[in-house]
Amino acid sequence: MARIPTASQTLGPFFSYEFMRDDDPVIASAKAAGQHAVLKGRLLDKNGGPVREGLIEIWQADAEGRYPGHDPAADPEVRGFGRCLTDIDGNFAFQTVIPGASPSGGNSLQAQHFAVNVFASGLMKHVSTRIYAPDSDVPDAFLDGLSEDVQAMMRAEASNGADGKVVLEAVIRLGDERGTPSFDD
Amino acid sequence: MASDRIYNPLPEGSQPKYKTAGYRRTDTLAPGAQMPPLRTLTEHTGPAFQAPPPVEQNLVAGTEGLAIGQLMRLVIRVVDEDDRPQPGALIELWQANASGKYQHPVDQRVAPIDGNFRSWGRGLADENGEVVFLTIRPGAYPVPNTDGWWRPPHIHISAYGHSFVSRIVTQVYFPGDPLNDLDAILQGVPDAKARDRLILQPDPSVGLHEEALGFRFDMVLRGRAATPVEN
Repeated sequence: MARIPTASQTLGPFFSYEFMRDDDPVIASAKAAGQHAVLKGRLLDKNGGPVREGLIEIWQADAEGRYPGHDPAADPEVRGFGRCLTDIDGNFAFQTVIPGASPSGGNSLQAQHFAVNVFASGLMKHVSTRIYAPDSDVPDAFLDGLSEDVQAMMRAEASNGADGKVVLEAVIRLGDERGTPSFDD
Repeated sequence: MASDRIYNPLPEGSQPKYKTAGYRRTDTLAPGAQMPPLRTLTEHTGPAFQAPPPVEQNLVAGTEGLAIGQLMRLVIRVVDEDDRPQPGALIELWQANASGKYQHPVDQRVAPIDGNFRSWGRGLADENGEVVFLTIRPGAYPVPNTDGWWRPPHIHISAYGHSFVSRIVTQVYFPGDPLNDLDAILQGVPDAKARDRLILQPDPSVGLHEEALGFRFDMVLRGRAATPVEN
């Protein structure tokens, strides 16, 4: 029997802090292989103001492009998943490694990316988008088909951080036609 | 192979629009340019979770006694679009207490606090896709800075299923509550049948005899969790 997926409803402002564990924003442990990175940014509304109590979720491959739970060879130090509640200024931050190019599911590869789900009070259903690693040189049927402006909005900016880590920074801007592009379903 | 999974188009009106009448905040967050969904290995894989301790499925056993309110046992059954149970799905649930007050620093309203009630719970679906919570029927509460909007009694439910694309957060409501028809968030789902599916189903057989009401809810996740054949 075919079932129709349950309707979404907004997260609301009261997602319990009790759900959040200290290691929730840790996508990859310190022992993971690859270039370690801090993936951080801000969640903003139509007016450029911060969105607090938003829930940002990341799903990514390990440094070799393998997905945990799918590829038995995937790095056990990479959970692949992380989540973070935005603070009063809309900030979020994750500890991770830069993912490798991952299979599309067909015969091609995808440019290095983080899948992102965004939940917040006032979002009737979550927003799904991607953040691409900078300097990706992997041909990607989806990304390469976007305008340069849109590509630029979907790419993180890199800078050097402490302890040999790279800092990847991305702004997620909602409520604006020229804001962060996202996927419809 | 994961990419063989089929996703039926979502029926018109079965999901809310981002911009919802009567809910001003949606105007400031509705995303801009939207693109067709991607259906790659990225979307068809997702995190696995460990089972939380069962104590987290009992919200009413306080240190000083039982929580105040109408005790209820809630059986959530998690299935995919083929109605297949989804063992291992992580369910998180949060709600107000019997007076409509959340245990949360953002809830600044003056209302009775119940020290024996814990306003959140978490559980992993069993082999039948079921997660059971013992809780209370929450109270209604006013939405600040609105013209008399009260949220009907509702329970927030978050689910992580077979893949990242099956992720969902929703709210469930109580049958026959007069506030349901006035609620901008529930009414933000255009299709009446889709709204009806967010209403809990009374089922005395899952309650506790002379102790707790029984309710059921089917959580239907996006996608089909066909056992992937690795190539």
